[in-house]
Formats: sequence, C-alpha cells, structure tokens
Amino acid sequence: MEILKTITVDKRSKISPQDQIFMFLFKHILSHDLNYHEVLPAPDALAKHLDVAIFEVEHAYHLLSIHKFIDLVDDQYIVTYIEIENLLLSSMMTINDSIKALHKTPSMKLVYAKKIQPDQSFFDRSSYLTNESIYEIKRIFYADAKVIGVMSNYISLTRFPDFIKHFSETRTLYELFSSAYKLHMTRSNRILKAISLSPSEAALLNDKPHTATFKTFSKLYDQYHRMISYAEFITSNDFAYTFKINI
Amino acid sequence: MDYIIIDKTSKIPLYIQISDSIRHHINLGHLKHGEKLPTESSISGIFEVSVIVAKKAYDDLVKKGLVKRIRGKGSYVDTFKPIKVNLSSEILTIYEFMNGSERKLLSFEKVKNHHYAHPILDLDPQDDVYVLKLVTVANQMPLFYQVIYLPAKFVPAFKKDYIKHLTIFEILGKKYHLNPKQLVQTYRPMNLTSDLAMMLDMKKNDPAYYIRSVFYNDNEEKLAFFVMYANPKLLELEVDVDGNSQDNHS
Repeated sequence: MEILKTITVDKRSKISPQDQIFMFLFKHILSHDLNYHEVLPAPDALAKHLDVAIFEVEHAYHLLSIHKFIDLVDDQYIVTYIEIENLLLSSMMTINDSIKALHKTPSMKLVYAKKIQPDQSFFDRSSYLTNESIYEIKRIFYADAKVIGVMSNYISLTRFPDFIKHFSETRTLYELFSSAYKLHMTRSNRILKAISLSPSEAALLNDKPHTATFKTFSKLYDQYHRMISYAEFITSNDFAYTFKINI
Repeated sequence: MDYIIIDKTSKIPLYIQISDSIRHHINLGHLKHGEKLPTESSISGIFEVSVIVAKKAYDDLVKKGLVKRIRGKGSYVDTFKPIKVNLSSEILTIYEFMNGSERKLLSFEKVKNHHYAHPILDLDPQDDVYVLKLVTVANQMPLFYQVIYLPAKFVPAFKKDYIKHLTIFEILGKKYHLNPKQLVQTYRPMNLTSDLAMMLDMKKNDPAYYIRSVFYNDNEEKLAFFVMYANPKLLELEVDVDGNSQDNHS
C-alpha cells in the first residue's frame, strides 16, 4: 500500500486524470509493487486524495477490472493479477510451489477420499477402462486462507489394489507412489478448458455459480510410460497460467 | 426424413435400422453438424413404430457421439469436435493460421495514447501504435477474436495486407528483420461481455479464454502485443510436460 502514497495526478497534463490513474496502477500491478489481493482505496477516497472527480477513479478501476487486473469483492477493489512465469500448467511445478511463488503459505484440506462409480464420459476422458475400480481423492488447495483450486485425483484400484492402505490425508501422491510402488511421475499430458462453474463447484471455491474458470484434465505417467493417475483441477477465477517460450 | 429407411420384414431390430440410416447419412455428410433431426414422435407417426423404438435409436446415436439432445429443443447432429492445439509445439502459429481457418480483418488503425497497449508496451503516450482487429473463422464459426498492437517505431509503414499471408512472427522477422526472442503468453478464464459474445457468436457471460501475448527481442523490448478471446467449445488447449515432480498435480 506504500506505493499508493506516491500516486499523483498532473492536472496540466494532456493525459486525462483517469488515464494517469489507470497507468500508475497498471504499471505497479505489472511490476508486482501492488501485489495479489492487495486492497485498493475506495474510489471516493482516492478521488479525494487526488482532488479529482470520483468518476475519474471509477473509470480507471473499470478499465483495470475489464482486463482482469483488479476485481470488486465484497465492496472492495482488490488486485487479482497473480501471473508468475511458467506457472503450473507449463512446467512440472507443484501446486504448493506455485502457491509459494505467490509469497503465500500453501495448505490443503481433504474433502473426501472414496470409491466412486463414474459415468461413461469419465472413462472417455480419463482413458481408464470401464471395468476398472476408481478411487477419488478430492482436495481443496489454499493460498493462505483463500481457496486457489479444487483437485480430484482418480486412482485405479484395479491397477493399485492396496492403494487405500497406503493413502493418508497428509501424504502427497508423489511420496505414496514413490515409496509404496517405486514409481515416479515423469510426464504429464494436460488439457486446459475454460468452463462455467456449477453450483457445487462454486460452493467449494467460494465463488458464484457460472463464473468462468479453468479446468485442467491431467494424465500422469510413470517412468515406464504408464498412466498412474488421472486428475481434474478447477482453479479460482483469478488464477492465470503463463507460458514463457524462448524462440 | 427420406434418409430414414425401415424394412419391417428384416430381422435387424427397428431401432438399429433407424439409427444406422441416420448414421450413414451423417457419415456421407448429407446431415451436417447442428442440423435438427425429426422428433421421436414424428418418426413414430410416419414409420408406424413405437416412440420407444425411435427413442432407442436416438439413444444409440447419442452413445456413438453423433447426436446431441438439447432439453426442450430436440435432437441435433453433433459431429463437431473441438480443435485440440498443443501449446508445447504449436504456440507460435496456432492463433494465426490453423488448418481450414480463415482470418478476417475487421479494422486497422494507428493510434496514440492507448489506455491499455501503451503501458503494456512501455511506450510514451505520443508514440504511434498500429491496432489490428481480426476474427478467425473455422467451420463457419468464429474461433478467435484478436486485437494486435504493433508499435510503429518497430514496424514503420506497416501495411494491413501483410497479415494476409504471414504470421505476426513472420512479419516481424521477414519484413522488418526484427528478431523476436521470446514470447510470453498468459491465459485467463473470463465471462464474456455482450460485445465480445457477439463477436464470437456466443452468449453474454459464457466462459471463454482470454489470452495475452507479448513478443520480446534480445534487448527485452516489446515488439508486439496481442489480446485474444477464444471459444472453449471450439478449442482445447493441450500441454505435454516432462520432468520429475515432487507432487505435481497430485
């Protein structure tokens, strides 16, 4: 918030006050001087501080909102720009590491772990065979206290009959597969889709139904190129994926 | 409905005959994606079969992934599969020239002090930027709506005809001998505004991809900046990732 004390508006400038406010905030959000989830001053307070009309601030905030740099949450404008190079989707970065990269503390909560009876569409997208017995582990991932995503991992009990015996809430699947089966996750194939949150998904993410989010469908392979886990991960609406490609 | 042929003397179950004749005409291309099929009751009435038989025929087609039922509207041919793009290998060209797609230039102008492009491109408000708005159409459906910002200082006398045959990457390299060294792309989900929904032939608030791309040169100068909106029903983004992981997606 210190950076906001340096904001000024040059009223003699040819650039309108709203554009000056937009550019100041935009630059400092891009440079991460204004961090993810930082609260911006209310438009009337900032307008008073800058001695400009409220609509000038509102217009700047509106432009930042439509480009997804800030969002209005519970009557407060907060920074929602959290882009980190090579975040999660394009690397084998862990969810916890990607949360740490945001300078947040990662944690997770088990929603349930149980045998399920999936429909045909699940078998189509997961490549599991219809006669396989499937175990679902659904967990919520948090960055500090905020939900960042909900992950379902699907394990075939036909392939790993004693999986349940090895599973514990606090143990990562990597640890489990590595110690119990000497298998390592070495490759992942992921499909990214923009979806509309169902009411039950929205409830888990503390978001509104029909909000657009990303859903990733991941197949994880071991060192012998066998699929050992299939996962579906829904991230919160303000979660972005960044690719950095050297040409 | 002349594509449905039933032989009541045949030993082949009636629902299979109905399903097979519809499938045959879908495969021949006579029935196209999105085409509405007759209702179960109209098949029942015309061919003097029970509604259950007609329903079973459609169940079979739905199971085969050829027909989609829309509650309250009816049954439709559903042969369109989303285009799957592998971001790991096709990222430089995917959004410009895709097989069977067509790019249409909607507008082309040179502007100063653009509220969004100038700060992103680190330009002074007085600097000129070329702004191109394009729509890419595949299978007669808008796949992307794209806005491209090119600083005039890097691409002086830019001509809109360049984009007919070249990608932006190629234009920067071949026409201007610039050397794009890095591309940074950011993917975000968004609910469409009514304006964008109209561009993509979608509905307001439908989910869509919002993709920002920036090309950098060796000196970390920003050579070009794109914003793209894409329909997720028509486009699936795929990534293959190798390497060891601690608890990646697990």
